[in-house]
Amino acid sequence: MDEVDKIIMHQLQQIDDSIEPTDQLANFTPEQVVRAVSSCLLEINPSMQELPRFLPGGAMAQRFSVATTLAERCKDQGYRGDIGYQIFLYPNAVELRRLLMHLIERLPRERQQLDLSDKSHSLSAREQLQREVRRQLSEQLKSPWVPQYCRTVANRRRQGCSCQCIEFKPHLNLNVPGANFLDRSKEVQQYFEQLAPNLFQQVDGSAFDLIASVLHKNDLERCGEQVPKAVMAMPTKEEVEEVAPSPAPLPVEKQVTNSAETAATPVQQLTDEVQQLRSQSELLLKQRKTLSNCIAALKARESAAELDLERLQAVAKLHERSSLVLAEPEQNVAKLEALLQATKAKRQTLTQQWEDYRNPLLKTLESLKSAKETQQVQRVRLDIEQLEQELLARTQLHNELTLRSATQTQLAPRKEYTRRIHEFIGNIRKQREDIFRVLDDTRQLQKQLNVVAAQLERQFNYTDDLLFQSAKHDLHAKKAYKLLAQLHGHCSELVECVSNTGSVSKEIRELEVQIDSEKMKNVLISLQQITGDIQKFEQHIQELQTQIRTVENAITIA
Amino acid sequence: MATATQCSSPSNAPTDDNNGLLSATVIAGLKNLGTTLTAVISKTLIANSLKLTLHPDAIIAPVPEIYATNAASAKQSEYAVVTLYAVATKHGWSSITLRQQLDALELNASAIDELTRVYEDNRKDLVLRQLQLGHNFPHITDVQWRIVCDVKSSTSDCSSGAPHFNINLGHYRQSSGERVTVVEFVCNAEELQSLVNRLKDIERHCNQVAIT
Repeated sequence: MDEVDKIIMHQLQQIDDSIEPTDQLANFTPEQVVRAVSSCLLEINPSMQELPRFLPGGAMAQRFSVATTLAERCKDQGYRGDIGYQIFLYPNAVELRRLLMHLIERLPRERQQLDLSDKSHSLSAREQLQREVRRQLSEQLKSPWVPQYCRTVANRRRQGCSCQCIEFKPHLNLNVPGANFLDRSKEVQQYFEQLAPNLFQQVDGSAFDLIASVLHKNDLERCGEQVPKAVMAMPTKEEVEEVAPSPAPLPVEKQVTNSAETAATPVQQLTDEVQQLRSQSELLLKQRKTLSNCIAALKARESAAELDLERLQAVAKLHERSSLVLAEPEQNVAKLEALLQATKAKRQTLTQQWEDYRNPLLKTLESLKSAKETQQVQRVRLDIEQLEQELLARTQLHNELTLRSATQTQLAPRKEYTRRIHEFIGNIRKQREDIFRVLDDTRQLQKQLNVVAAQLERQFNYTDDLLFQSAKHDLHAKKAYKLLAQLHGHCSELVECVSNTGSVSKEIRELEVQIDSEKMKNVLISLQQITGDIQKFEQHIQELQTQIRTVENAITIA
Repeated sequence: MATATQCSSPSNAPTDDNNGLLSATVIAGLKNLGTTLTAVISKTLIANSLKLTLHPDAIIAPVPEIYATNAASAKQSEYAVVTLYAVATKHGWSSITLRQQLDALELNASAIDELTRVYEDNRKDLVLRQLQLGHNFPHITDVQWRIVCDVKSSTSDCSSGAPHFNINLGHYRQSSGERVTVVEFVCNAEELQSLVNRLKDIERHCNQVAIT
C-alpha cells in the first residue's frame, strides 16, 4: 500500500504544489483531503464552477456543506463507491485511497504530453485527426443506444455506424452506344435501337450496383481513351516524340481527323491505320458473328441428330430382341409359358402369405372395434341413468318449492300489518302533537292567570293603602275599607274553592282511572275467592276448637 | 470507398472542358438531350433516370415513350445522365459548379436548366445514396454462440469430454435483413476469457481516449 500511496502523493504533488507530502494517506488531515480532491476535480474539468478549494476552520455547518458539495461532484465524475461528507471530515485511509485513485485515473493525459512537448508549435494534421477521433469517440460513448436496424438512418451514419451497406460491385461490361455515331455500323445501330437492354435493365438485380457500374465504365473509358494512344504511339520513337508534345483530346475523334489534315503526315498515317484496323476488326467481328451463328446451327443439328440416334437405338434394341425371340418360336413360347406359370404360382403363394398375415390382424381389429363400441354404449347408458336421477331429484325439489310458495301466499300479508303499524304510529304522532298543543295552552293560561293575579294584588294593595289613609279621617271610608277587606277575603276564599275544586276533580279523575285499572284486575272474583278461603279457615278453626274441647272434656273426665 | 479503375492523374488527363471527368460517351449522351431527343422526352428521361438511380430496389413502372424514337440515343443519354450525377456527387459539385461544367460542354440550354434543377432538388438524396456504396470491413452487430462437445472423432471412439464455445459473429444485411456470418470460431473457456478481456481492454481504452 505504501507504493500506491507514494504514487498518489507524487501525482498530487504534480497537480498542486500546496499539498504537503506525507508518508501515508492515513496521515492526511481533512484540510489536505479537501485540497487534494478539489484540485483533482478542477484538473479533470477546468470549467467546474463554485468548487470549494479549502475547508473552512470555524463553523461546523460550513465544513459540512463543503464536504457534501465535494462528494456530489465526485459522484458526478462517475465515482461509484460509498461517498459522503464523512470521507472528507473523518478521512479513512482505505476509502480515501480508492477515491484518489479513481480521480487520478481520470486525470487528463494531455496534460503530461503538453508539459513535455513544446506548446508553441501549432497542431499538425495528425494531431488534429487524433483530436477529432477523441471527440467522435466521446460523442459516440455519450449517444444513446439505437436498435441495429435504425443505425444507418439519418445522422447515425456520421457516428461511425455501418453505412456502406451496398457492395461496390460494378457491371464490368456495360453495353451502351459509344460516343461516335459514325463508328456504328447499320446492324449495330439497329441492335441498339431495338434489342439492346437499357442501362437499368443491365444492372437490374442485386448482383451489380448502378452507380458503381457507371463510375467504373466512365473511368474505364477515360483511361481507355488514352491507352490506345499510348499503344499506337509506340511503333517508332520519332513518332512518339512528334505526337507527345501535342496530347490531342482523343474523345472527340472528329477533331483529330480535322486537325490531321493540316498536321504532319505520320499522324495521318496513324489515323489511317487506326481506321484500317477498325474496319478490319469490324470485318473480323462480322465474320466471327456469322461463324458463331453457323456453329450454333450446327450444334442444334447435332443435338437433334443425337436425339434421333437415341430414339433409333431404342427401336433397334427392341427389334433385335423380338427377332431373337422369333428365331426359335416353339422353344421360346414354352419358356415364356413356364415363366408365366412360375410367376403365377409365386403370386399365389404370396397372396396366401398375405392373407395369413392379414386375417388375424383383421380379427383383432374387429374385436377391438366392438369392445370400444360396447364401452361407449355402456358409458352413454351410465350417463343417461345419472341424468334421470338428477331429473327426478330436480322435479321433487320443484314440487316442494311450489307447495311452499302456495302456503306462503295463504298467510296474512305482511304488507297489511306494516300498513296498520304505520297508521298507528301516525295516530300516536298526531296525539302527541295534540298533547303538546294542550300543554302549551295550559302554560299560556297559567301565565295569564299569574299576570292577572299579580295585577289584582297590586290593585288591592294600592286601594287598601288609599282606603286605609282616608279611613283615619272618614267614617264612610272606614266602612268601605272594612267591606274591601271582606271582599278580598271572600274573593280569596272563592279562588281557593276553585282551586280546591280543580284538585278534587283531578283526584276524582285519577281515582276513576285507578278504579278502571282495578276493575281490569278482577277484584271481585279474587275477593270472592279470599272470602271463600276465610270461611274455610273459620270452619277449620271451629272444627279444631270442637276437637280441643272434646279432648279437654275427655281429660277432665279422666 | 475504392474505385479500382480510378487511374487518371493530372498529368495525362484529357484537356477537356470538364477536366476530363466525363468520358466521350457521357458527353455525347448529354449532347443528345434537347437536340436529338425532344425537350419533353429529355425531361422524362432525366426524371426516370434519377428515380431509378435513387431507388434501385423499388419497382418503378417503365416509361416506353422514351424509347419510341431514337432508342439508341435515349439509352446513351440515360447512361450519360446517371454518370453525370454520380460524378458530380462524387466530387461534391454544387449546382453552380454543375451548371458551369455543363455550360462548358455547350449543351442545349433547356437541358442544362433541367439537369441543374433536378440535381439541386435531389442532391441530398444522391449523396446519401452514394454514401451507402463501398467496400468496407463488416460491422459486427450480432453474436450467436453455443457450447459444443465432441462425441467421437476419427481417431478416438469416445468423447474427449472437453466443452468448447462455438461463437459466430455476424451482422444483418441492410436491404434484405438476412443474417450474414462474418466469422465463426471455436475456443475453450480460457481463450474466451482472454478474448473478453481484450475486448474489455478496448472498451477501457476507448473510454480513456474519450475522457482525455
